[in-house]
Amino acid sequence: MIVRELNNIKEIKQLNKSVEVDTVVTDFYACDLLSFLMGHATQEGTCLITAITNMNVIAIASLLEYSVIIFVEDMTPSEEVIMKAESLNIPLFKTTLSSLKIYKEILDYESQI
Amino acid sequence: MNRLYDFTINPNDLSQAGIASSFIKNILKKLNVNREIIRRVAIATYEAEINVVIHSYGGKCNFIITDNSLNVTFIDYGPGIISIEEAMLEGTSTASKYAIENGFGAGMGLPNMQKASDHFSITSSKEGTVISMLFKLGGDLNDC
Repeated sequence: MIVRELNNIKEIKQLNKSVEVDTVVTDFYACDLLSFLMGHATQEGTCLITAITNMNVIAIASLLEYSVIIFVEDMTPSEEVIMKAESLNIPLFKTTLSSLKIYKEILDYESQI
Repeated sequence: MNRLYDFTINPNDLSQAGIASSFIKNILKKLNVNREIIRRVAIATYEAEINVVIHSYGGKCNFIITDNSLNVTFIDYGPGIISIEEAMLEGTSTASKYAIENGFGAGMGLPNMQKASDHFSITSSKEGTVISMLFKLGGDLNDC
């Protein structure tokens, strides 16, 4: 999947539109414990699905070169966090759905194409 | 090539955490170090930086890059770790409410550092904790 294809899923909304979205998503990982992420979700290109919206999520996504972050449960990062992600070229999306439900939507989308 | 760098790390300011580890990562990228090695360095140094921020009264990070290795040292000014043996176990954490609310406190910090580095050492007393990590960078590095 390419990051931009997330825009084809109606439950997902992109938060920062001036970033690069041609990156390939190599893996999906849903987690709200950041140290756990550092130990387990180490693949470049990972799509992180999380309810944590602070600056540290952006720092980790940048350090580990994640392709995209999807914030779940209607959690919205601050403008400062969005701007930081934009400066690091990290696409941010959000959804009102839970981690499991949005991942199911992504799987359904992928099975249709 | 021998380069020594020094960073101050302030306590209880998670928004600034990651500055030292990002700096190290960017230097290694400029030196064309293998991406997987950079990834391990990023994990270990970010975890160490976060630990200084959330557990200590403040500290610093020194690192030196030689032709084929990176030596990073994190030094904080206390209060120290009561039991290093317990702290090295996955899932053991003494993180504050502030740290937990920000997604930390899974008790993975020290184990992640040990796994990600080629050599890891830690000493601790009430005066502070010192963590040293060595990473083999492999081959001759390009100048930056």
